[in-house]
Amino acid sequence: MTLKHEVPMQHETSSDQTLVEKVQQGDKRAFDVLVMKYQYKVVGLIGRYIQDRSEVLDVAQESFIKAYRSINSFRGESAFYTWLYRIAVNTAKNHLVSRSRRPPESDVELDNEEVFNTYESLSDIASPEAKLNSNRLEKAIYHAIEMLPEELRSALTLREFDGLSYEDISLIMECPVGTVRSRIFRAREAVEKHIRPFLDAGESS
Amino acid sequence: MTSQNTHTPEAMASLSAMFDGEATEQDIAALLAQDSGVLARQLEGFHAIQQCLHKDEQLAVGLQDNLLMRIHDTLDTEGEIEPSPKLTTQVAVLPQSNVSWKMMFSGVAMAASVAFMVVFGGNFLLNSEVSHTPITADVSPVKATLPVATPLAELNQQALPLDNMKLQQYLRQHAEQATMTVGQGMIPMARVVNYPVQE
Repeated sequence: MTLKHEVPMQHETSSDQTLVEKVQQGDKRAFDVLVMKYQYKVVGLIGRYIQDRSEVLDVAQESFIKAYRSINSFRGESAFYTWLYRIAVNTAKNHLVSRSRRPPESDVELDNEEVFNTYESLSDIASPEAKLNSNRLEKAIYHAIEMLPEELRSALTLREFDGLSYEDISLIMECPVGTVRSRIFRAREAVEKHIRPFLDAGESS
Repeated sequence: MTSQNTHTPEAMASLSAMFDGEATEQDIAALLAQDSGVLARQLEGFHAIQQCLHKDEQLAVGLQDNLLMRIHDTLDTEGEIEPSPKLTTQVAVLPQSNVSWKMMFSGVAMAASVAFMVVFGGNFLLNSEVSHTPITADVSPVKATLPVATPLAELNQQALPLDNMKLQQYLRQHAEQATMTVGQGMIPMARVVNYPVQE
């Protein structure tokens, strides 16, 4: 995982901790919010280990269920996503190991490391149709960002590219934190509306 | 999963802040009052934007609340909605504790009985040859009836029948080893597999 992926995570502790505490107090909807927040990241992470999409979803589901059942043991010593990602990676690796123990489908026996490398290389292979949809979606997102007013685009890119906190962005843009928050939301909302047809098409296909 | 099917811009702004980890208590309270489907749909767009800007190799789209529903179904099917209790509680309710206590007690009892047999049985065998005294001796004064421990030197000097020689050799070696059976000598004794018997 590269640095640019990790930087935005630095500020996510407080919200997550609040949600985790609510789950620990018995609020199941708080866990729903955590699932919705991290499901794409977890699916993407597991997708690096496992190629088959249905298996990826199974492992992601298992990971979240494990997290839910053991959430009372989460003490907040690390960030929630770090804890969750560890569960997801271990679940994915266990899944690969369990697959390797099944009767072999080919004559060649592979050890776990080879199985892991094979799946890792296969996971980079997407179908041409999926690649095409992904490229179209990416172009639509960049186009929508270019169409944004300057202050919205700056706020969004400072947040997404540089991983700055709302407070840091407010200092750079010389405006209140509430304004930063509003600008980032409005920027996302505008881009989301622009790409919604692509997202809906992706679901139906 | 519930609540309001409509969503306000304020709630979506709270969602955006939560997505960035900048949500306040009020934001989270507002989010928990929203419909999960609406939140999931909006978050899908937020994730797509983020993944695109972060140059993720594959854009994961189309999940919305499918995964969430699967998780709910699984938990409902297994009838285990609540998170499992803390580890300390799990340890406290382990039902095997009585069994382990019983096993430990029976083991100690067995070891004690074996030690008893080794100590007193060995002494009995050792003294059995010496007590060739006539039965009438039993009615003699108390001093004469008490079993007398025969010193090794006397044992060596005694003339024994040939058919009893082998047994006496064994008993003699046992008497030498018997010094280990007192007090703390019991533990090293346990390591002795058998006595070296001279043929």
